[in-house]
Amino acid sequence: MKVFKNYRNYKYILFVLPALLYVFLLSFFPAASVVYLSFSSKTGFTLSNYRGIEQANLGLAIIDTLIVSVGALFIQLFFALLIANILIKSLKGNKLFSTIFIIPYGVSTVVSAFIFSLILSPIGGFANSTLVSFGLRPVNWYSSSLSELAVVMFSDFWKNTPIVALILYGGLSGIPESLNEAASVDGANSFRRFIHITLPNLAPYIAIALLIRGVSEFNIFAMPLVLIGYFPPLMNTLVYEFFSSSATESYSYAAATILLAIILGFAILIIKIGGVKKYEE
Amino acid sequence: MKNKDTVSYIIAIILSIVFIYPLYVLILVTFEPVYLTFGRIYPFQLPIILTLSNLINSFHQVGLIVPVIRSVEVAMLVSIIAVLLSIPAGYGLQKLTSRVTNKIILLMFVVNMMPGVVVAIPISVYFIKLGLENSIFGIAFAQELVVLPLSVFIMLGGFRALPKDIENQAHVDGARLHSIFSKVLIPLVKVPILITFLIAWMTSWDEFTYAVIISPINPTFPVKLYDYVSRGEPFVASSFALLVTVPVVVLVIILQKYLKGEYLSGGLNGV
Amino acid sequence: MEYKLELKEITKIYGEKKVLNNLNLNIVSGEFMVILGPSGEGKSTLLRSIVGIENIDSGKIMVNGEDVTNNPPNKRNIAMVFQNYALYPNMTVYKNIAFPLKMSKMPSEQIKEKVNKVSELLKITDVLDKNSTKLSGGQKQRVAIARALVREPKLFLLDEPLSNIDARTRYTSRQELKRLQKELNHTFVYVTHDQSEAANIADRVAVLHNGVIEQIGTYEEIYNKPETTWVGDFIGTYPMNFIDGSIYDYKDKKIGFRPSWVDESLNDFELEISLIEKIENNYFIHCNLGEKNIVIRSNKNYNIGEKIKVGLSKFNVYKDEKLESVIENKKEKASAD
Repeated sequence: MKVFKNYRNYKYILFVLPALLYVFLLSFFPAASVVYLSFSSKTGFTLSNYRGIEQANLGLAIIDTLIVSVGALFIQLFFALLIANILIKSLKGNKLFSTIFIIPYGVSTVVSAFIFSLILSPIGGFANSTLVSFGLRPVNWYSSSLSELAVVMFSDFWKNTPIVALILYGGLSGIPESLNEAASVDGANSFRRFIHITLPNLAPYIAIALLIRGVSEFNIFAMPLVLIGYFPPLMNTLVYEFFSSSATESYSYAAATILLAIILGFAILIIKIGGVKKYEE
Repeated sequence: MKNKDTVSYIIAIILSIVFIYPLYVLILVTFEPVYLTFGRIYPFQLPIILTLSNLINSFHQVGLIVPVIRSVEVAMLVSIIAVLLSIPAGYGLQKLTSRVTNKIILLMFVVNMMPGVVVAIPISVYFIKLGLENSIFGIAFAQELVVLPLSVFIMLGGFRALPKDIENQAHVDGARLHSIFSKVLIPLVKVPILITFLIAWMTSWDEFTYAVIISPINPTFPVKLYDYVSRGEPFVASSFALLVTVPVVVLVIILQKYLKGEYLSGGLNGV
Repeated sequence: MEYKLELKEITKIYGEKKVLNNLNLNIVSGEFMVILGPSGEGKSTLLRSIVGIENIDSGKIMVNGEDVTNNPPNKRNIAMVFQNYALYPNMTVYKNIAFPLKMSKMPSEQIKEKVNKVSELLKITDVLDKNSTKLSGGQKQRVAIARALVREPKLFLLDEPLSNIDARTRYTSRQELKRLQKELNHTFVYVTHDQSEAANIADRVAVLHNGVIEQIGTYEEIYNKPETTWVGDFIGTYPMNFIDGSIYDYKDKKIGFRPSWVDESLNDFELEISLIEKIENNYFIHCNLGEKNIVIRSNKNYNIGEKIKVGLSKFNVYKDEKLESVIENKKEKASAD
């Protein structure tokens, strides 16, 4: 594998090193000590921390996190595509629309979660108030685990779609108009143009958006903490629940270690498959 | 053609309502008397009676002002470190082959996939030893971890977009590394630097996980706000949320022209 | 100001490919050397190696007998004009030209004097305060040349400097560049893929192919006596025609000739006409000789499909793709045999 464009360019790795070391020192050391702490007690090596979390819903936390991450990513991607496609047309009032669509980016996650807890509250919620004023029946948005996850996903969609739309809009505006014109001369309708021209040209931008957002979705914490508390559990809320009570603090290391192993496997998978190739094109 | 535009307008208007409505709710809760909002099963949606009493009441609670200042301090620190680290990193990465560059970038992002809590807990243990817990430096150093990959990616894009051969020309003209940076390169990546700063600032401002674990005693604004929400004091929470959110939203709208997808994904070009 | 640049067995490798392969080249004071070759044959790499922004994998670069192979660009006193001019977009024209002087820590009074002098020479005094991004292509090129000249370098490298300019300006720029070089008596190395440029401005032309200089000499020499069949094929509006040597008793060899070397009064071989191009007062006639396609020049108009008999007034003989002998007058040679 050729590392440098020019073989005497090895010195340039020195420029990258501070940032790289920063990330590694502040993530690998802590990760290693989590593993160490999970196996230790005052008396030495122990497995008791792992026995302690047998009852915990670790599997459920992972599945729920996957549901929320993947679900939120899909919703964001869909609406971001919609928004980017509207903004790219030079409609009248587009400037206003693009200003409106960026607003949630300025609202911090805890504030967004707080507002949605007001809107979706089963009692005294603004959403139900709206439904009732239209003569409809109120809905309990917290009636099942799945609907609670949906509450998290919806709030997350509101907060994070703008940044995805920004990236996709950037990609769209880079596609030369002549490509679309040539395709319509060739008789492609707008759907086929979208499939054969827009999507392939947009693919690298979609990959970037998925990478940036995917990492954050996996780490989702404040949003569910404010909206649904500790149940249904997500990975971060579960570990935090253990951590915040001194009785179970040592369990949090065991839970964290297991999560770490799973994430590591997942990360290796991403690097091995598609990931790199996709945006090397 | 006309028909299609109508469909676009309808979708745009519906989405606009969805995007504005939550802010409207926040404003309503802040300025309407409590008996019209939290006091009812179905809160009133129209601003018939407005009052400043919620706002005035929450101002007596100085407890939220200090965290806001803290958040601003932390965010400044995070953005400055992000810029200082990502300028050389972006420059160096642009010199490597795109294969290696892409691997390094991906690796930095993937490291961030580790649940923040998992990393934050042991970091807090270290920081207690170093005396960094409950300090703005402790929070900033930890949040930098979240900010850095995207910062480096943005700066990489900035350096890749530079005119071809401009650095070579400076070499040929006899400039040394420090003048190449200070006189030629840095002035040409001003916009990416500004964007890196802005995005880092926003990310830190928004960050919760590291903040809550590393500095629970001297909390930042999001942590303190969560505190009020979980203690069941939504009036105070809503007033402050609004007061703090409005300036940031205005800032985002003003700086809108810099928040472009091209910059965020700039690292893609020139592979 | 005597100056001599010697490139000794220079090799540059990209991945698997040897872009420059044991290349040798000498450049002497005051000459206008043009390096000519097809795109992607390492012409730019050669210039970049000379100036020092690319490191060579082996070989030596000598200036006046001194080895500068490992010197960084700022220690070589060589100026270069890049293909896209690489003007600093954040600076005015004045600051662009002053930049190399500033880097050498010259006092600003002296800088001003030199910048003004070189701007007068290149007729850009009226754009000195403009931002460099607001210039036309021709102006950019002048500014880039001014910036290179202002340092009074020993050697002046230009990488296809006229390729981004429209055709008409290109022609005048070319003449001006030549005039400038002769006036200042500077040493120029100029890279291009455009033969007409090489023909017009070069004192000597070096043809670069497969990482080596295939031939070096005046354009006329190269045109009339290409040392390899590849050079013959590459040089000229129409490639040199190569036919089987057996027509003139050169077994296992090739005969190469230019379209204008055909003598229609001879009857040595027969051609079938397949296509005719009229260029100004001449006809360039594409014909078939057996399987082979050749082009001849004539002032007579023939018909497509017509068969004509011709001979050659002069030709070159190639053995194993290399020039063996030049036959100036075939008739004389025949009588001498």
